[in-house]
Amino acid sequence: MIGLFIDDIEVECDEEMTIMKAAESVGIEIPTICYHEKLTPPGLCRQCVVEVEGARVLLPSCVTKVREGMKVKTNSPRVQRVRKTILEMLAGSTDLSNAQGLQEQMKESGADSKRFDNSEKRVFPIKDDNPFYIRDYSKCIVCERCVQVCSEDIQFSYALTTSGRGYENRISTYYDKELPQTSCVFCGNCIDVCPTGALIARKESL
Amino acid sequence: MNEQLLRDLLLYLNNLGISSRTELLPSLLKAQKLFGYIPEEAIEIISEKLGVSQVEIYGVISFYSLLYVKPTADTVIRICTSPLCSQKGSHKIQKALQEKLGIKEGIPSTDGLFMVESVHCLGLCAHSPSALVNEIPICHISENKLDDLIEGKGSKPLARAFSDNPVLTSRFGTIEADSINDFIREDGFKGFIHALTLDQETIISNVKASGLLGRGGAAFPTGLKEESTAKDEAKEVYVICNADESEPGTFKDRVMLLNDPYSVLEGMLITAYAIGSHKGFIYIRGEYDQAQELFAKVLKNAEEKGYLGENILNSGFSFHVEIRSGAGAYICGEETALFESIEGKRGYPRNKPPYPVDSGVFGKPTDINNVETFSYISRIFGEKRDNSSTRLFCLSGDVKRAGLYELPFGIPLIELINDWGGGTKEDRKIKTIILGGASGSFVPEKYWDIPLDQKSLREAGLSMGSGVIMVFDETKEIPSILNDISSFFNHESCGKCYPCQLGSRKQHEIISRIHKSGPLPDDRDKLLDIGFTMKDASLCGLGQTASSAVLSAINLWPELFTAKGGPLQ
Repeated sequence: MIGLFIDDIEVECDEEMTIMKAAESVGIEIPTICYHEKLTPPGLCRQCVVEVEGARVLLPSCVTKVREGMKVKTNSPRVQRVRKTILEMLAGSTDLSNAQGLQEQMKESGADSKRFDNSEKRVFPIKDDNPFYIRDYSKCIVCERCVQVCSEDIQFSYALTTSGRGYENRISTYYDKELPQTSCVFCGNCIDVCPTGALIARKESL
Repeated sequence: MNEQLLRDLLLYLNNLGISSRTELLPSLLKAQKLFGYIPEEAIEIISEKLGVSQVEIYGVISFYSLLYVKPTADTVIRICTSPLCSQKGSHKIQKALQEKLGIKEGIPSTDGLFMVESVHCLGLCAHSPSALVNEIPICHISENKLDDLIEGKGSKPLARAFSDNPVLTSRFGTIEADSINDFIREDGFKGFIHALTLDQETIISNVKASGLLGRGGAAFPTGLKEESTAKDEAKEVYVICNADESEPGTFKDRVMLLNDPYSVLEGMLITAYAIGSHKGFIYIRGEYDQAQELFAKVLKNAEEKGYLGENILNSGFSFHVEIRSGAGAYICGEETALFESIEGKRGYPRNKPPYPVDSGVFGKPTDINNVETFSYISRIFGEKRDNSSTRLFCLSGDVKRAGLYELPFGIPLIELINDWGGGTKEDRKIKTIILGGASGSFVPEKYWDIPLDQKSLREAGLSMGSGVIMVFDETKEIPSILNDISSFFNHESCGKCYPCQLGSRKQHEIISRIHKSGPLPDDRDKLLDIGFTMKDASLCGLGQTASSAVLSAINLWPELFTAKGGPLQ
């Protein structure tokens, strides 16, 4: 067991714990987008970053382990600025209308969803190519959870990948083929983990 | 589909020593070379041979600029549009070239003969504007010489260095770069042979005592890295030379590799011996074809002479080096992205910790250093240098003598530009200076005479990075330079983490608009929020520095970011 301070609260926890879990143990909830209990945390959304005394930059609490004597601020002005800006940029890139969790986070952080409205959004035609799912990538935030569950984290089906680079990153099948032409087994795991409603089961959509 | 080419690919795959994912990028580059793109049939064969799913291969191909899923052309002309070349008119040249050939960017001509696209920095910054015609670098391209360019003709880069007390560049011009005998004649391998007589702790403590800091940009103490890697009792430890030089304004590693490649190998050998490594990689960027070919000769000659391979010089020590080619991705110069690339994946950087010294390539402890750093290590032991007194500076832009300079730390910036670089062309006034490349920042005028050493620069909030000094004269405009820089990051962000994926695009959109039509009232605040978010929360060094230039410009020229009539803060 080691001791640290999170938002001035003294916390005792196992040394293998992440800052996010240690905070949770004393009732402090740190917001996150890409983190999922059952998946390998990719640490890419940076919404869960916290300020750690002595660190040059903010650290992702989902993958950063606690250390003896650490002093953590989970909601400092630096942290707030980053969280708010990330959400505003997301809203200026993606249709978040079905992303309930993100909308709550926007409200919480005071993010202005229209701030980057005159920025180029990622808009794609809806992919309706199979009897089970509908894929609306205009709502996709490329958190890559679907790729994770489709690959080593759960299903080993390898139907999905991230393709492209940078802002052009997309979730894609092999050569962007229709799902029935791929190795997809329609297990539905990707739908379960999608945080924004980009992937929905057909019956939900009706 | 050309059956013969497929058989060639199959033969290549069958001859691989190891059939695993780490061979993915080399195999894809092979297919790209054979077919001019990577056809579906090739992906299927590679997938089966290497045991990597087809969809993952598709994802990998789409990540790298030099790999294509659609046919390219017999001649692919890549025009550099990084800040330096762009400021010398490369965009206009590209447009003229496309018009002449009657094609659009990135789309091959109908007869399949030509394709033109832009590329972000070719490491030919001392000879801008520049281009790559297939593998051939062409310097000082111009609208008047388009016919030459199309035929791959034109001036070749000079690979020389200026110095009055050369250490790192002492062999430049005195040896044939590929001749191991020349190298040995000029005291080559002396440092390695000396190191073989020392125990590992002594070697490491000598490197530590030299005070050598990494020359790739981050300036991490080299000896400390060695110590941390060696301490680990794991059996498998790797040495990697990072030659994925892609920072706009940087060309030192290319020039070093073309002039004194054995010194780099010697540094790798000493390091490997010190930390108990038997396997190394040198990751050379894909655009440096010439350097790759030369280094392949270097490895072959060194092996034949007994300086590499099993039981080197009968010492009992064995070390093997493999060349890995990049495939067009700036991010792969980031050490953990480079590991991923060697492992056959998209070049996504990893969250740190774990650090490379604990878990690097293949999850094993890895000591990764820049080309110049390794070369310097060879000098520490060869000439018993006890300090790291000189470094390589890449001087480019509007100066009379752009080029590579080896000069002592602490030389005042303006002295380097005026006394060594000959000052600006036509003696124009300097508009601005950028230190550190696209990820560096504008130097305030009060610091133009700053001594170029770590301490002075740190105190001034500046960084030398990989030794880049870019000079822009009074005919250049800040918004235009910024537009080139933000365009670079917009193109090169890997897109893994949100601050950089989204920030590099939003930043470029705003800068590009300011450049075209001036700022809107809230542009400045947006850029500040984007900039600090990238700096403070991005996953890797690329994202953390992708807003440096913009933030420093806002600080120096606030009026450029404030809408007319709006408040000047």
